[in-house]
Amino acid sequence: MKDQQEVEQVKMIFRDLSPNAKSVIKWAIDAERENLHLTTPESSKVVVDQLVRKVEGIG
Amino acid sequence: MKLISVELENFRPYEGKQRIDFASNSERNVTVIYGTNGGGKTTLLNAFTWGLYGYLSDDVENKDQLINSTVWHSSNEGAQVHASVAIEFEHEGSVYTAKRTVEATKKGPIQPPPHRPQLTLLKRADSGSTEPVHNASGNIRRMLPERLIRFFFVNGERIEGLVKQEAYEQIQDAIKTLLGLEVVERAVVHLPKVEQRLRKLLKADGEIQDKISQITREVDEIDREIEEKKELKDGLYREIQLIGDEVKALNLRLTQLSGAKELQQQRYRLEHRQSVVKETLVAEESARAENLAKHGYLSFISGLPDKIADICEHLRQRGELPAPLKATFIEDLIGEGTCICGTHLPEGSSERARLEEWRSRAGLAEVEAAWNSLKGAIETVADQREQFLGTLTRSDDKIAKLEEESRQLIASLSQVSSDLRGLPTEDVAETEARREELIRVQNDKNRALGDISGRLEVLAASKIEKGELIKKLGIKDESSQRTLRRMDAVQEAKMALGDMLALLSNGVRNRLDGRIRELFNRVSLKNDLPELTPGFQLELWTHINGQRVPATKSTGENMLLSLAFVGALAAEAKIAGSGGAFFEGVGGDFPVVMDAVFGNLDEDYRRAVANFLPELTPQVIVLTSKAQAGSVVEQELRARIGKQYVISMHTTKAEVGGATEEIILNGNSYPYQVIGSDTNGAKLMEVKD
Repeated sequence: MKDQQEVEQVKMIFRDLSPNAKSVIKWAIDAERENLHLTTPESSKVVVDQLVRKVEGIG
Repeated sequence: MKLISVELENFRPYEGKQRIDFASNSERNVTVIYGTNGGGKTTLLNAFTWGLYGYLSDDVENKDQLINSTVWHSSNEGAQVHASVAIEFEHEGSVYTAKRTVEATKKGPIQPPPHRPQLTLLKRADSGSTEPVHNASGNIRRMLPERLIRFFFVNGERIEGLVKQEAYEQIQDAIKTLLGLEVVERAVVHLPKVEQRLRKLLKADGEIQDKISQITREVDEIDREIEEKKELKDGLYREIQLIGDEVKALNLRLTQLSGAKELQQQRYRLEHRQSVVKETLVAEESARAENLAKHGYLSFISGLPDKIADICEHLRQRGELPAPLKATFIEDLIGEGTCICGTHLPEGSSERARLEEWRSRAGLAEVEAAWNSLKGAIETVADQREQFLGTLTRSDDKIAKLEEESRQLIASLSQVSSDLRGLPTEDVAETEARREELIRVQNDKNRALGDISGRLEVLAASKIEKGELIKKLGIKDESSQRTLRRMDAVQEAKMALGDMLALLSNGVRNRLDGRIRELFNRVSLKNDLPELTPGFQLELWTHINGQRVPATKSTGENMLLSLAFVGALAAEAKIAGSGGAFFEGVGGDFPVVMDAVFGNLDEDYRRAVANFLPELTPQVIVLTSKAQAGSVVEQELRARIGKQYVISMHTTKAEVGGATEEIILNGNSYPYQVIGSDTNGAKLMEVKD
């Protein structure tokens, strides 16, 4: 069970972020989840490539 | 995940197709598989890891010989021979079959190493038809990540490894996987690489471009050093943990050696007191620093409050400070044109002129308020100063006493060590000398670790500084401006994810710690207290004369402690699976498959483990020899057993001393070791109700 204090602290970290940083977090988590079956070295290049492309969307 | 069945075909000692259906009823959730030593139990446990992930554990001999040797030898030259393991399981309401097959062409009596075993994953539709699932390996790893398998498919003889200090990394990894934090962990590693790539896109003209290139090179160098130092730090940390493990083992040994026991227990008490003193000293010093930061100025203003009060009083007497008459009150009277005594105040009248003179002498409201506040503050400053100096003196006294106690404890500990070395028993002197040497090495490594941590802090600060320098270069290029904004966002995201990772890992550690304690206390035969430390190590403590000291862990206690950890992990997995994790964990119900869980435990511990197992997870599969299980296990587990199997071991050997040829289960006899059989291998038989 998540502790209420833990929930609040995570929410606070997220709330204080800029909209761009929030987007980066979302892209990063999605990319990592998509490539989780790959080993760490294998996933490194794939994920970094995907994220660089996504981040280019930030104006 | 719930296991439905496993089917082995020509897999190692299992000739032909052989199948086990597992118990899955919540009341009778235990499947017991009896097999003699070397009879195929460990192969069965390995059938799961090979079937799902393609590997066998380190203790399996002749790993290349996957195809049953009888089948191999009886096949014709040039024939295609195969072996397979098919595991049927339910996951999130769907039924899957994972099947791994290895094929080889027979060329001579020796099997070649397995060449590319094939894995398929089939999903059963509601209609009963099956359809293949794309990316079988990736999907299996998503359902039951490899990092968790060592906790749910375990060899009882090695499960005790969980209570060793070097297991902390495995434990940490398992927790992260469970909560879906593995993705966060990877993101924290990958985002700086994204930032690095973006930095190379920065463009500017002339001199600024040169500066950008130079800073980029410097940051790359910092990144390289950070990576190198982190690796060094991890290595050192592991070494320190291992030394700590060895020191603990030597401590326990000393408690068992005659003559040394009392001294070692004295050392435990002194060390415990030393850690309390150290903790109190840190807290006291920190409180003193805070007090000084907040009130330190008070010690420099002796006599100042009286001086200020005298000056103010003098000013007031000279009418330079506000009189006790409100300017606004007089203004109101002038505005209304009537004095409080009823006198009219027409323009130009002498009464009005008098009031106007009063107004000029009355103070401004703000000045008056400030004066009142200052007067109040001055009156309490002396008290505050006295109170502050009193607290400071008490703090200093306490710190001095703690420092003195710490010095005495160091001297006493040194005396204990010297007494131990001076004991006539050679064993004790040798053990103590080795311990001293380890402590010295550990201290050296701790100092090195501190240096590296300090250097890492410097590097991190330097990296931030370089980032700021780039921003101050005044890059005009619009695309580079955008790149800078992107780099900022990536850096911010990385920092936030790092904070969340630490926060959530620690949160789950706290919860697991509580659960382990609860489970262990329920089954343990002793009054010891388990702890999952902030460093993710499983410790066991006991109390001697009110002092907490490391407990001497027997094999039985180790087993119970490890099982308590598996049970706590399974409970956390269940919660993570029901939406209790922030990052979509991989939780849910997991089965526990355990080989040799009863090991060489005493009867009491066998009973405790047998009682504990059905409570661990909703599905438990126990692989045991009849001798290890004994009648105690059978009695304790009877009410929870849903399925039972016997692995009948066949050998062509005609004479084997002390073999158990049959076992009786539910009143029926089953062949256990078939001596002088016409074949070698293992045959599975279901026990009748």
